[in-house]
Amino acid sequence: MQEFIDKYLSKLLTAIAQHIGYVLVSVGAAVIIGFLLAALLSRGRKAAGFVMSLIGVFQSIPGIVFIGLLMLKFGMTPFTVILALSIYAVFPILKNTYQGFIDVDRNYIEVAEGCGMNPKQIFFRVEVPLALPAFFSGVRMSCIYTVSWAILAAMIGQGGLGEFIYRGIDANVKEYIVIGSIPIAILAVLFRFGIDWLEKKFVSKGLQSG
Amino acid sequence: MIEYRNVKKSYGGKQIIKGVDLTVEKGEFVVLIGPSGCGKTTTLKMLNRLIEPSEGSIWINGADHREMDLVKLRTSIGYVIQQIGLFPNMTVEENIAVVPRIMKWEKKKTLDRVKELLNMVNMPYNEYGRKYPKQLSGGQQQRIGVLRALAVNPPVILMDEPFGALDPITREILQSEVKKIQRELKITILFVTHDMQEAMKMADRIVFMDQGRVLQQAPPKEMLLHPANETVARFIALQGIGSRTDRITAADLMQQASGLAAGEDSVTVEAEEEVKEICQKYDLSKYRRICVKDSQGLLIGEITVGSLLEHLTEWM
Ligand SMILES: Nc1ncnc2c1ncn2[C@@H]1O[C@H](COP(=O)(O)OP(=O)(O)OP(=O)(O)O)[C@@H](O)[C@H]1O
Ligand SMILES: [Mg+2]
Repeated sequence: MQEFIDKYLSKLLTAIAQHIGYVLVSVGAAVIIGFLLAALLSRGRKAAGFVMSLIGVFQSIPGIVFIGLLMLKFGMTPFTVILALSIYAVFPILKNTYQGFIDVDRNYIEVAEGCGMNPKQIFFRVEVPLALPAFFSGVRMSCIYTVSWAILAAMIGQGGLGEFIYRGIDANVKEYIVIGSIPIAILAVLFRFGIDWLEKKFVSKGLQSG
Repeated sequence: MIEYRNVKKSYGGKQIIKGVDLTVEKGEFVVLIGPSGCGKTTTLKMLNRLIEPSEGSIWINGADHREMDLVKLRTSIGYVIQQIGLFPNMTVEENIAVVPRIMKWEKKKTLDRVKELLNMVNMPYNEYGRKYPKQLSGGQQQRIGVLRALAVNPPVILMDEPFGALDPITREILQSEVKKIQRELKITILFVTHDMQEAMKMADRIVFMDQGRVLQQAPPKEMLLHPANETVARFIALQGIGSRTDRITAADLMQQASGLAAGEDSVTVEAEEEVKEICQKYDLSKYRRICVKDSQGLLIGEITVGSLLEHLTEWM
């Protein structure tokens, strides 16, 4: 095993870097899109119901089919990978953040209005801070899923840790599978800690448990 | 001065407020009371335009309040509601500073004001300023809610059942604090409650509402003694005011002296003496009349024991 690692170390490191890159870029894009969409949809709740159910349908398309379809259009490029991953990564963020906005108690908004805040002030000083914990649980889920989904990159020859796993399956070499999977598990845990840390930093102490 | 002129509010064809006329003088403590759903909250919220009247108008110091700048209107009217009034994501300091921040006060001025207010309720800044609402007791939270409403010294404060969720002892303490602050600062307060005892304690004038109408407006004692109609009387009676006749004195109940001098069948009391004390002091079943004299000892009126008993049962 040690021998195996030594032999593939540089390849492995590249794959890990690629993998992390895919996750960061697609979750990053998903954070922006998911948050904005959630904020927007929570303004117009009628439209929101429709959009959310549409998204539900979308989400049930298997990733492997989806990435295949995108590949037909955008070719076997990193862009295809990031596009597919971003779209999937948006769902948990959008759903959770939207719920977070919806769950902001009417009373807080009314008191804020009564105090004289304008809609923008209410949004940034009350609604966003109160929706933030839900947003972070969305980001956490999204990150953890994306770490696994990024394996699909290898399916269209775009690297990442999936390369080891697919090759391992193809050639029936269990070492390949192991050195591909273990970093994925570690990455998932690390991302989780990272998000926890960010959450602690950005969510008001008044809303954190304990 | 605040003036509601024939204010009405309908929701989808159903009239909730059916023409309220109400004048509140500067520095007056007015309590809106009435059964649940009678329109107290709606009446209150129409003042700071959280709800727009469907008909009629509200005038503040001679100006139609719809023509005033909305932010100015709201920052000049403090607003306190029951329970979750404080923003949980903000510290005590940030909560109190909400309105100063909207009004773009300087940091130093805001901080000084926050400290001053916290001292007023014996919650020193160093200990409480950085705490979050969830770290405070219900009573402390509600105190901060009141301070937030006071922050920029608004001339008017609206309070919607602010102490409804507190235990009786804390409630009494906060009532006293608010009453004291209101007197000292001469703030105009419109206060909603459905607790008659609270209304009695706080109000200069009680406004009794039922089904979207004002049934009676009167100072507390007068409302107790002369409820305008059956509905008001029953509401008072149901709340067990009988045990609470603190503020009613002999002078309030006396009628013209019958001309009979004090004698075997009467006791003589001072005008200022409270009815409750009189009942405790004398065995009234032995007498027919209570003679009332002023501080010089002059006979100024009398109460028949019969009418007193009638009042007492009415208040029970
Ligand atoms: N947005 C609304 N749409 C329809 N009806 C409403 C609305 N808001 C209030 N109402 C109705 O108006 C009436 C008065 O409501 P309001 O909240 O002013 O009563 P309240 O006197 O404050 O009652 P409570 O003591 O229970 O707080 C109630 O019957 C209520 O159901
Ligand atoms: Mg109400």
